[in-house]
Amino acid sequence: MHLKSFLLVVSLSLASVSLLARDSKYTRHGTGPKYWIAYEWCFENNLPIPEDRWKRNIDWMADTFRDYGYDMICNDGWIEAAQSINENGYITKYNSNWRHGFEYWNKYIEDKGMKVGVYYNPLWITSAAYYSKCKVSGTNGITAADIAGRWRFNDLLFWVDVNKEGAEQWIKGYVRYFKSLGVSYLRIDFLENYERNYGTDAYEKALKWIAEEAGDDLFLSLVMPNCYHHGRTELKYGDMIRVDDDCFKGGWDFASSRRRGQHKSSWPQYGNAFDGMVAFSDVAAKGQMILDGDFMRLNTMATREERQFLYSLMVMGGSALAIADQYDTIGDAVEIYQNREMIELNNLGFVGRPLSQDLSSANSSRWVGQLPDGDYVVGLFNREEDTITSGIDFFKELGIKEGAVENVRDLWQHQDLGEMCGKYTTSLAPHSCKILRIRPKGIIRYQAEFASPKGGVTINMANE
Amino acid sequence: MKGLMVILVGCSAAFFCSCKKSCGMSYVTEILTDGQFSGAGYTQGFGSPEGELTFAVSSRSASTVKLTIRGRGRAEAQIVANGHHATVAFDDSDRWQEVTAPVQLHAGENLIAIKQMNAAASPLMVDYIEINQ
Repeated sequence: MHLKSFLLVVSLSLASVSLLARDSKYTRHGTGPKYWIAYEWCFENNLPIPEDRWKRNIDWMADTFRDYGYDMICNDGWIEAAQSINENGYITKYNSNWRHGFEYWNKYIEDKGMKVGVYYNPLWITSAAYYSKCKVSGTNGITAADIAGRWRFNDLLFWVDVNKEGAEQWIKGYVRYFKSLGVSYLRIDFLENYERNYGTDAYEKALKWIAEEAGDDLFLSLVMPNCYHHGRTELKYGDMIRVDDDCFKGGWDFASSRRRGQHKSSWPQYGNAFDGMVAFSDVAAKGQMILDGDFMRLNTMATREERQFLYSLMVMGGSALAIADQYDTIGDAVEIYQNREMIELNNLGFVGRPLSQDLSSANSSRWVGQLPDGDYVVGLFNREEDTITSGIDFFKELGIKEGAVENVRDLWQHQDLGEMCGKYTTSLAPHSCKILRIRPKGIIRYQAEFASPKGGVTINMANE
Repeated sequence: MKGLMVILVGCSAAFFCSCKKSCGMSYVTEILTDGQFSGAGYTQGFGSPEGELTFAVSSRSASTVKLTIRGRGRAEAQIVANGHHATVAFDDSDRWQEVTAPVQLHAGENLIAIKQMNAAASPLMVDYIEINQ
């Protein structure tokens, strides 16, 4: 631990980068949506989710989680079999073998008091649209086949080449179409594939068109982005970026250990959720970018402590809270998602930061942020295989006057630990965490390092 | 030893005090000196026209309050709160100093933004704000 001498810290500090970001009601709020995603069944079976299972999960979410604020349902990939199209070439169903399309299911979800998210990339052209030579809406006879690029996504989906006439109309028309269906969240996948094949300029042009058409009506979730230059392109046009590899089979591998400490220059830059959240924490703030740590399959975590750990990480980083467990797999993990004190942090737009972005530093496992009422939220995590001692110094690390605290509250124990001075110290079992809400005494001070920077303003942390 | 280091490096007197007076518990802590920033860090890089730092601050009622900003540099800073603007000036790039300005808050959450007004030889750094409600 270092002293807070300015002169000392100049040489020790971490300069984080804050760039200009998309200004939307979502980024201004600061945290991601709380929702259910159809990933788990698709991944485990490598198939599109069956329609009856989709319905049962919607019903279960409405009954179990809607009143906790999980207010959205989203389909997921395995989308190639979505070949039912309208007159403009846009897909009308998640899967052509389903009985009902988006209109039916979106109404069903809305009648349950929830919103609709859609997994799709407006840069895709289905084989159905391509081979039927669908006219691109808003053009003078240009067809879907005319705007397809040289490189396909796969056998059933083509990519739009944004440099072809009619591409802008197609992409913007697709976004408009989803908005007209009542969709409030668009999950745009395989972005690295597009950028790799068509180049960054084309990728940026596509994102720009999507963002222009989305406005404040559609949350833009960017999935599998390369995030070159620390997300410089994605920041300008997206509301949320994926910061780590897919959940896959979940478990501790996904939460913390997969390729731990290793960095790649392109997607996925980080192998596990913890590394990704730490590494991109400097671009996460109100008015900047929302981080997406990917889906949670808490039923795959070995212990209750691990389940708390993963959920806490997502909350501390301001991530979307995306449940991928299902009605018949979730087991006893329901209570983790229903912790109202943790959910409140997401509702308040809370985004914390690790005390260090150096993944080899123990300080990267100590997260801090501040709420609008002046309370601090501290997350102490143990990623290791041994019990550790961790804590927080109220004066040196939180900046609280004289280190005097009115109350420390444990948000998993739901317990007030009372008045304290100086520091809080605790023992953390392997793969466990503590989330504390700390109320300072006296005049409320808001620390700059936990506020929201943009436009080149940087945060310098001492604890490197 | 820590106190000695602060004196030597922080270019200012450092003190130790007990916060017994505040909370009745015995713990020795340090007083912030004008050579130190508080807490875990501070912000800088306000030089670009888009550079901005925003605090989310809740208030129980609509009122005008005294806002204290701790910063350093030789620069003027603009404070924007709920559409109202105020200007403060920092005149010391070697030490942290506190300046104040009145700001109007409404009930609920308020956004208070700080920007540097123009290019300065010694750009702004910000340590914290305090709200005296």
